[in-house]
Amino acid sequence: MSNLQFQPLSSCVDASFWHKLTQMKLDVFKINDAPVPITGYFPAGARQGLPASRFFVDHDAFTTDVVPAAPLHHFRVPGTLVNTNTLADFGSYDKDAMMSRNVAKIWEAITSGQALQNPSMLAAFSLLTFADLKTYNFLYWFAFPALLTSTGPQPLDQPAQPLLDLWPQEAWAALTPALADSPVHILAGPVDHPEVIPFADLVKHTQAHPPTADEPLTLVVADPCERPDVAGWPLRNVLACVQHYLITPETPVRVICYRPAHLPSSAVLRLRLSPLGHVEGLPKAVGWERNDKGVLKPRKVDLQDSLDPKRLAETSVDLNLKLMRWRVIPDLDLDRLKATRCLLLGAGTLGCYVARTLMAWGVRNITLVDRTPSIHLPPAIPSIHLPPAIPSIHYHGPCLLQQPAHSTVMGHVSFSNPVRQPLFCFQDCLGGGRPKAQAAAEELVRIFPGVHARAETLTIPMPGHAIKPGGAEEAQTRADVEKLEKLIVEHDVVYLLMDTRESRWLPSLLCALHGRLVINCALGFDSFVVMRHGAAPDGGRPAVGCYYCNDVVAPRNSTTDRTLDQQCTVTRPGLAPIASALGVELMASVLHHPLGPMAPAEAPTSITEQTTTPMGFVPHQIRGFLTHFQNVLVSCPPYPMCTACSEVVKQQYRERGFSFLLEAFNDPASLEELTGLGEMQRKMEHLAMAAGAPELDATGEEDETAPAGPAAAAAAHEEADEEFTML
Amino acid sequence: MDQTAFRVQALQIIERWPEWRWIPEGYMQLRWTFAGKCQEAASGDVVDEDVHIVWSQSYRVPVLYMHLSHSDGASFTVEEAFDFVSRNQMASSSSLGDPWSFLTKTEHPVLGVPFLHVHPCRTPDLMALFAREGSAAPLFTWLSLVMSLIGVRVPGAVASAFVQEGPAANGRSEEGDDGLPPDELTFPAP
Ligand SMILES: [Zn+2]
Repeated sequence: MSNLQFQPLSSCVDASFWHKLTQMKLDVFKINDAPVPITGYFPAGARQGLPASRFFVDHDAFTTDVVPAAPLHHFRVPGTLVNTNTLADFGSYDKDAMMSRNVAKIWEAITSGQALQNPSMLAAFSLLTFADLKTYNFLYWFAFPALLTSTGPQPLDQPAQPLLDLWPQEAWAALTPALADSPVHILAGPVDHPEVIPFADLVKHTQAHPPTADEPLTLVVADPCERPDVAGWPLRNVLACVQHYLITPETPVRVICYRPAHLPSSAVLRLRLSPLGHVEGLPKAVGWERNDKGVLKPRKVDLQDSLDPKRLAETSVDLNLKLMRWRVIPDLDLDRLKATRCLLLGAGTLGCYVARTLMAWGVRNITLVDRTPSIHLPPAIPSIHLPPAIPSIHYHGPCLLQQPAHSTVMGHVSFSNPVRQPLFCFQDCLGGGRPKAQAAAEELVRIFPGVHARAETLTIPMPGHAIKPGGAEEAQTRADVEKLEKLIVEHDVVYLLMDTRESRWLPSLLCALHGRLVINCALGFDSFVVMRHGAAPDGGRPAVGCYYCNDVVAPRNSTTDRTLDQQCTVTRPGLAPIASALGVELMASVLHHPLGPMAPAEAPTSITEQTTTPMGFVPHQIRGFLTHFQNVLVSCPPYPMCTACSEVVKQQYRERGFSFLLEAFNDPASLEELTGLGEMQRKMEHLAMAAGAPELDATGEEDETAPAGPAAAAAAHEEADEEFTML
Repeated sequence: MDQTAFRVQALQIIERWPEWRWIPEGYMQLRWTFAGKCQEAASGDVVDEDVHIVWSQSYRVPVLYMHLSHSDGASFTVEEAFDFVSRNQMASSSSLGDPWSFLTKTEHPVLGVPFLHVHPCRTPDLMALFAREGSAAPLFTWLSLVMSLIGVRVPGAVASAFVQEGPAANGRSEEGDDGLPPDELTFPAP
């Protein structure tokens, strides 16, 4: 007759256990790897279709002072955890000794009689772990020791009988509460009125009622298995314990494999048990768990996604955006935004707000560029011929020149910055101030570790800011130009966020040359312009103009250049966040347009007009007036005489490279001559003089009936093949 | 419903549906193992669920927190959870699509462990609907609804216990009658 078969337990570790272990390791264990008491639990039976013989540990495992209740129809048992400090410790840990300690504990419980009082001790288990807290990978190995007895239990019937064939179901419903307190009980009494007796009374009961073939000793053992012919693993040590206390040989024993989770699968096994007799030392035991491949090796689980706080931050950020896609914009292309590499020229007020808004959109690659930190000395008044003579509302002058000499160490965080520039704080200003781009990039990572923020410094050379030829200054300028061009090529979108107008010229030219999308934000005191530059692949004609195209065609009836004599940092504080946010939203909309940066300027005729793309319209320029709380959409095509993006300028740079730039830096008028702007200006002046037109008055007001001047200017505009729309 | 009503109704549910237990920190917990009905998936379709119903002070509604894991202990990502819910939703032909869009990962309010949770912003509408329909046990009505979407079957005896008590359960008793495995009916509530 073959021995009874037992189904091994299969461990099932809840992530909350690893979370708790991580906390304990950091706060309590530290480098102590001494054994720690824990608990786990197994179910009695399994609902139909579910895997059986599972063994659970969760975050409650460590609560051992007051043992937490197990879920319904589960039984909690004690265990021992050893958490090793290193992978090597895990590998070399003496597993035989660990098993022996566990067996000794079970054997001691049996021989001392404790196991009769508390049968859960018979299922005591061991767990060896290694927690890699850098990668949140966990290695673990369970041992569920089963004592080997020389006289194994032999089943008398094959197959076993279903429980409900012998007892009515109602009887078991009534017994359920009495059977819930411990995994092992004795059952006595008639079939229609069974009685539950504590396992502790084993000896007393068998003496009072010596088991017979008709009335065998009947044990109710919580059984995690669900098969009719096989018993659960915990039964092995229960039988060893019973054998230890048996005196008469060949005692008739009946075991009810109690499976309340699916009562009909409960089975009744008749067994023949013999006394264990004398055991030399400790009984032998088996019980290391096999891994998922059925090999006697540890198991492994990777929980980086659910435990690494950085990973959690990333998934939360992405999820928040996905909610937007699920709920509002099904066509939202988050991967595209995420992959967009953004170069921010300027790490001041605009740079800080743009970076934050980009991060909120899930953009992961942000490079911040600020000027090379240096002590700023007021330069000699340069002759600035750019922009062309027509003032525009957003022109706010060469602010660098108006700043008091003592005001800043350029490129460093100064005391006035933190309140307006949300990536800096007071500490950044101390000791002369930290380099701005560096401080800003570090703060971005502090806010969200998933962002790849990089800081670069360079001084953008500007037309009208002369470079001494042949010296160190020229060499430095050449290096800065190369660096800027390389950065532009490495990114997808370039934000122009500087505080001087003329510093936007070189990046505008380079972006036009390399077909990069430019988002340009410029502030006046209470007005701003946010625009995109046209971008086209090599040789293509962009759909819209650039910042400099635009200036030539600025509205002639604009307000005076009241911002002209303001310092650039004197703006209403709400202006920068508004303009920055609009810039980023403009980028998001453009990237969602089927034509991308090639999209023509769009403008709705009314607020209710159906949008053309998932995100809405893609205007060319947004001009905002805080005084009137109004934004207007403006557009202009690329201007063939533009000093930055026209073909003739690009061609000069292609042919002459740095020497062409040098000429422009030293003599901006050369640009006007090159593009034909100078000629046009002379023509306009000539026309105006010939017509005897009065100068535009200081308020910029003019009306349709004004003589000659506007008409003449309009003629000049036509000549320039331009079109200007103000909606 | 206020917090006291939540507690009272939760304890009523636990009394009838003993798989749930009351956690002294003030929420109810269910451990559940889901086995998929897919024929081709042998062991791969087992989902261990740790389901917590916690009272939200700010929204004044019950909130579902859950931790779903594969049989090897690896946690579900939000995407996997979303798929899981969608499949159950199709199986249960529930029309409750919207609230599930708000499945997010967040810190469990008591345990401090990352849990999936269904953002409660839509729940007040649902609870108000149940109240209008005169549900005597709105928590149970809500619970049986959301449980169907994570594959937890309300035992027939539990559903009928609530239905018998009033006009309450809003036709929800069907859940217990559509071919439950017999073991679910083995233990009628005491
Ligand atoms: Zn241009």
